[in-house]
Amino acid sequence: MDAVDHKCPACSASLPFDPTTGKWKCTYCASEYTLEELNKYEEEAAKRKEEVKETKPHKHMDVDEYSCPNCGAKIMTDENTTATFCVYCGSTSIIKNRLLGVLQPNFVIPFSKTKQDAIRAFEKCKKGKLFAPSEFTKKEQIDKITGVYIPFWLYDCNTNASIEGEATKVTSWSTGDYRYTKTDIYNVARAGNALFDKVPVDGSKKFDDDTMDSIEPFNYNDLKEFSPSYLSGFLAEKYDVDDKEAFSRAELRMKNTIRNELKSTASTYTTFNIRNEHIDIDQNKINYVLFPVWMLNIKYNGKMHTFAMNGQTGKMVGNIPISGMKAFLWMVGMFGIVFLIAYLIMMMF
Amino acid sequence: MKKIFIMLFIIVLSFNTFAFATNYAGNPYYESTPHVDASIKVYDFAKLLTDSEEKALYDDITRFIDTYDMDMAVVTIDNNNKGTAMDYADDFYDYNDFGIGDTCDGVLFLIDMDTREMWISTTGKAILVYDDARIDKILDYCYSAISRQDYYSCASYFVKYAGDYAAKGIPDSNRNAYIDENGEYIVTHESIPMPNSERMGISAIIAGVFAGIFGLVSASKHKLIKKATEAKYYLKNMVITNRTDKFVTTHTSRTYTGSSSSSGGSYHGGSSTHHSSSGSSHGGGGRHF
Repeated sequence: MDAVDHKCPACSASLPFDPTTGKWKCTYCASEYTLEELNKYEEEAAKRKEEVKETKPHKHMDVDEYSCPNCGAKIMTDENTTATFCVYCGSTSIIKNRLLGVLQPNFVIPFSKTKQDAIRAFEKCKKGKLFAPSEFTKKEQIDKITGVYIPFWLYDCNTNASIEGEATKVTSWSTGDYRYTKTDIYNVARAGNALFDKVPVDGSKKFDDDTMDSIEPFNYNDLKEFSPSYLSGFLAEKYDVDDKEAFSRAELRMKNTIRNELKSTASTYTTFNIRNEHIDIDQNKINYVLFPVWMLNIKYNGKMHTFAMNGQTGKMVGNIPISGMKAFLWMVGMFGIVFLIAYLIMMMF
Repeated sequence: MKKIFIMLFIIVLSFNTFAFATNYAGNPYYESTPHVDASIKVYDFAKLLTDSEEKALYDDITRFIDTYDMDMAVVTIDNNNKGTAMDYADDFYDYNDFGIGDTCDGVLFLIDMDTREMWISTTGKAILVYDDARIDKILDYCYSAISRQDYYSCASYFVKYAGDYAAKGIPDSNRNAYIDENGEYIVTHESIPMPNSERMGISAIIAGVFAGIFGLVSASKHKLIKKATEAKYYLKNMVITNRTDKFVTTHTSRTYTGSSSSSGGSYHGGSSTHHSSSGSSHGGGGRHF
């Protein structure tokens, strides 16, 4: 299609072919181009566009890196902060290295919740969990709650989507002793485009993806140009999932969203089954950022339970383990009470 | 010896007849009711039916009586000396020897050409079987025939649908009702007490479902981590560029429900009853044509 629809390199107006000269002549600025010239200009334009897309982080910095021989986690911080244990497995035998020329993130959202806020949020989140084992949370474990900057990739994307399928409208009514059901069948097509702004995907293998999804969203108004001084007093993880690998998660979420948005425009139908769909996603911009997370790892029954709090908004997530014994006793008790009440009520009749 | 027996038999028989007659002697309702042989079953005083039609009805009625242990009669009149179809039907049934058993169970259908009304009169157990809803439904069928002057079809619809309902037994609307020894229709409000084992069983099922739901809800509260599958929060500027809806085809299907009554009413009150001139209790209903 591009070959047919040329744009004037000088003024961007559309460029029709002039059969008398065998050239493309702009009707606005009267510039004339041969096919070779046009191709050259267009190649250059495409190259420029490519460069815009590649706003990948390019600054570098020097950091202290702690690696954990136990679980393999790699944590970085500035030279003024000392890590004493691994935030993932709690091991204290971590090895410090000076690392030069580490890729520097573009942006950071600084912590706005304190350690005390995080402990309070964790206590609150335990409340009302009837099946939580009583020996689950010991004070010395809670005290290990740590503020960590987690690496995220943010994707700005343009999407183009079209869906097509069969939809039905079902109406029914009764006359006499009969019930009538009328099914109207339609062929429904929808297309649209959408802009996604900073879809986040965590760039850490160690950190559970679903946990990171669950503490979203972060408020992007607080995004600050990155400076290594933000690391002071906090630990940060280095990304170990690159932007290409992480993109599949963002892509899936965007595809689902745009499909649902298009489907929602056909909500007057009783059913709508998509037969064909075509979704194109173009990455406009990728940013490497650090988001603040308070993290707590609690080992229970040999299994690690991770709790995480959004260090900006205070949203706390985590799966509290279920004690089989407690659940059993609660359910037996509930059974007994309901049984008694039901039985007594029935005795009255 | 043999003569004495015959004499005794005649005395007893005449005493019975005498007693039957003396009970109502001087009763104007008794006097104004024609006295008939109760075994004929079809009494076409208005001459609406041919002989063969009467025969056909008689055969169907005999089958009904044998099958359901209730009496049945069909009467047509063109002169009603009692004023209403209900009074005529009740008196005709009471002052002749209709009915089976102590409570004189049976049903009578009257076509009254004088007041232009059909009437179904029920007595004894038939009051339970034919509640108001069923009588209304039977009259619907009968009306469809009588409105085109098809009196034979009208009477035979009555016999047919009365039989159909008798086969279904006593309807739910009368499940707390019974007929006492005087033939009175009585509704009780006490339900039969539930056996203890059933109470325990139902309680256990309720408690089990409750405990199960409680367990699932409580356990789900422990899980706060969910995979994100959407990115709507980050969606800006959605533009719809194509919106096409093409009608392809349509089809309509029909299913029989059979639950709706053409009269549209629903009955919960069982059977309506009244007392006739003889003091006995009757159910029933009628319709003008």
